[in-house]
Amino acid sequence: MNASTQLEISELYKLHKNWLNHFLQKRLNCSHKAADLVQDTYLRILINGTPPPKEYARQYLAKIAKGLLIDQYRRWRVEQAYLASLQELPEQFVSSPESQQEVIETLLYLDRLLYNLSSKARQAFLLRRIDGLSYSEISTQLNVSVSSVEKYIAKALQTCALVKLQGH
Amino acid sequence: MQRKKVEIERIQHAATLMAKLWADSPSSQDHKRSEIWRAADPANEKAWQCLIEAQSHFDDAPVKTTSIISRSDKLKRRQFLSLIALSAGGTFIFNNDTLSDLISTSEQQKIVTTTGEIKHITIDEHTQLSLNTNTEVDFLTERHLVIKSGGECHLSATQKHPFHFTTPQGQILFTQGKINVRCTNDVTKISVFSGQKIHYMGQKMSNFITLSAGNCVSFNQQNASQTTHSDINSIGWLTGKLLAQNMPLGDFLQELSRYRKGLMRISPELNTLNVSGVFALNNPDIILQQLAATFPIKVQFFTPFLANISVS
Repeated sequence: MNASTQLEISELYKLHKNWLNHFLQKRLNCSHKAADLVQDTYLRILINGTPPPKEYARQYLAKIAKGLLIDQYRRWRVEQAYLASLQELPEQFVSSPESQQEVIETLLYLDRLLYNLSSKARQAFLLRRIDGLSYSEISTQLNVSVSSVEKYIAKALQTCALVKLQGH
Repeated sequence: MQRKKVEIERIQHAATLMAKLWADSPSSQDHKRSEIWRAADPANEKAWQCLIEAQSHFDDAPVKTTSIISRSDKLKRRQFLSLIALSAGGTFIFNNDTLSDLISTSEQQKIVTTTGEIKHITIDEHTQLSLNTNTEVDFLTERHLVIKSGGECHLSATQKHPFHFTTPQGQILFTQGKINVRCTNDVTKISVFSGQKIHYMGQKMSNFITLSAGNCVSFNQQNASQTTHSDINSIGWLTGKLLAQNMPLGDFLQELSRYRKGLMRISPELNTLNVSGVFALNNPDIILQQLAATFPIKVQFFTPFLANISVS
């Protein structure tokens, strides 16, 4: 990173730090978490090394912060749901924390691939791909026609490929 | 940009073909059609391979992925935000205990007290719950309690550990200390006596509101009252006592009627008199007799269940 970029980022920090903090605090209702997220947002910009044009600085900062928050939200959702499924298992089947973490990462990845789908399309795809159900079984379970199931699967296949192409 | 659009269209087409092949009994025509398309252009084949590669990750998926992901869809953003507010400075990885605050299991546990009954329940070595008269609660999980209208509970927790109340009016998040929650038909009244700040939110409010120890508030679905000081007399019931300090007699009798089986007709003029004292709740009729002996009031029993109280 060259000196002028560094200067630009530190300007960005000085100018908008308080605004961003206020912006997040209003949404999170928590000053500690807002402060953390402000730091994460600037960290993201430091890592990318590309400060935004001055006139769009606030939009840019807000967009990154919201993105970070959505990532955290998504992780939280998946973790909670996974841990809940663990609770239903007898104790001797519960795996080590390390392998649990690995499973969470896999789940997060899959969740990200399927995130933009409707919940029916997501479910149809998972039932076919992971649980190996037939289209007619899925149509009964989701209470939709077999041709809709086929459309859901096509949509899901397409979405996964596009998300992957975008390098996520 | 143009190239990208073509690429997307190819992937769409490949996906449609593949979805046909995944059907219960794909026709030989379907097979043929996809083979011809793949062979027609290397870019078509590339799109096809891209689909296959994208789903290779599903091979590592844990068995319960479908139910986990659909369960995760049900977790609401609001719960997440309220949790952030509570986990100040903490991480997003929760342990199994706090988890149960959020996700209801099918095994609900109901606890009920009848008129005049007071129950004390030990939830764990640090957490004690008491239910006042005529209260019905459901444990959705060990740390998520639903209080039905008319109920009153007191929770005492010596260690920091989130606890979640749902009342007909809204939600309360509590971590450590002593809290009393009373639900009437229209409002939830919270009194915090000690410990950490609590957070509450009416069903139609958009944010959680904080209440610190020593304070008391009533809220309905939309609005919250002014905060006042919490009154230690209001939890005399924990020790089976009704405490009054210059309390209008009518209000006192209303309070007493919660513990007495049957109906009490209380004349409104009784509020011109004030009562102070400590009364044992195990026999409300004795309290009525004591009051009749000290105040200019008339207590008439029509049946054991119906009592009429008026100024004499």
